[in-house]
Amino acid sequence: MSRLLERPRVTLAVLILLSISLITINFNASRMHIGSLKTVVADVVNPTKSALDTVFRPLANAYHGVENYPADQREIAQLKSRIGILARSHFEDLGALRALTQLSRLTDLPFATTLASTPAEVIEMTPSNLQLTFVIDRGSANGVAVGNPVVGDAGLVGRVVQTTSSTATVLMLTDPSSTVGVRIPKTGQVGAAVGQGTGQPLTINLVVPGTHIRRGAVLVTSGLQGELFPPGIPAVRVTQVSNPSGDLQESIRAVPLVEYASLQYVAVLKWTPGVGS
Amino acid sequence: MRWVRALGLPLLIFTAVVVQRSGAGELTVLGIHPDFVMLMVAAVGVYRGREIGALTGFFAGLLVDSFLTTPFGISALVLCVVGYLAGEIERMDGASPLALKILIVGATSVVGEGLSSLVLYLLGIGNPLQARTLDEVIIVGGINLVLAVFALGLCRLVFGPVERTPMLERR
Repeated sequence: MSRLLERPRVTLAVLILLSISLITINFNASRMHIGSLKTVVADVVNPTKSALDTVFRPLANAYHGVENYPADQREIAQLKSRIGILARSHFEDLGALRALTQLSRLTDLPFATTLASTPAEVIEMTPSNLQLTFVIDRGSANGVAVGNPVVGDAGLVGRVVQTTSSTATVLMLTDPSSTVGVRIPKTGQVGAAVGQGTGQPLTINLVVPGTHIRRGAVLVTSGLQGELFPPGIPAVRVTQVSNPSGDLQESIRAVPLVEYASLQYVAVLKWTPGVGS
Repeated sequence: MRWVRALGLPLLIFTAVVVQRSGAGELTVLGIHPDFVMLMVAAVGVYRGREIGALTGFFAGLLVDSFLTTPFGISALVLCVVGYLAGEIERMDGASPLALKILIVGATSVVGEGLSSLVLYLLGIGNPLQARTLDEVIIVGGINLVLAVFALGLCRLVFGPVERTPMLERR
């Protein structure tokens, strides 16, 4: 009995009872006093803690660095992958936005308000040195026919030279076999824009010397030339004008209004050469 | 040095609490924090016996509880038991080897962690079957086993080489 009630055991029993009492009080009574006790203890400990933090923080950081190195490497790899995905998504969004802009402009072409049109997507730039063409995803099944003018949001692109049921091949204005009858809007003078090949400006022929024309002027289709193209479609922009003495015509260079390299969507105009719309 | 001896115990515990609350306490091993207060209470118990161990554990526990949102008194309950159990070494006759002291510090830390989980479970705060109880018990016990030699060294520095009289002789 005396061993059972030895002092350390009694002390332990008292301490356990005290602890249980504290827990019980904490559960049942107001926490006001315990809360203020906690505040007092925190006020005493916190300044020392701050001082020790300055000592231990670098050690803890170094330890964390070593401990978490593999996980950090994995996280870095994941973040890099995520950045790649986001960047790709960003560029896809930009591409979609550009396509949307082109398409919305194609639905409201100011120069072809009276003509029916079929929107089409450029699906292939023909990789050939012989002919400057591209392929669109609309063909005879969609009402596209050989000779139909093809326009972009800025102006004339070319004309359909070949069709299948689901695709059509479009001849670019820059192709050497392409000739477009053009008109200078201000003066009404007409000429013929002839393609000169890849990267070369078109030559405007048949413009009589002394014609008032300046650089930057936009020439529109004339509607002549056997009515290959409907009149009034912006076709080329003048980049160079000169009049060598003795020549029978103005020397004029021009570039297409559309940028073939970034062409994504076009509209095929329901226009049959020699017949009209 | 008398004042060091007089204030040594409170200083030791206060330091352990502050270290636990500082950056050192934020260190983790496999996501589990060390328990420096439990380590120091166990070391004091081993060094000064059951009664001092239990009292030290109780007051250290009250300090620890001041920083926790768990019910006040839980750490006091657990740590006073840890201090008492560690002090059981006084039942041994004569001086005990250092290895045994270290083992006792590790073992009582394991018991303390287990007891904490049990008390929390009984109070409906935690579920030892779902929580990482086993990991906590093993890792905290392991850390304290490794650090026991330093904690015992600190106790020796503060209390001096106490030649504890075997309990049977005291009676």
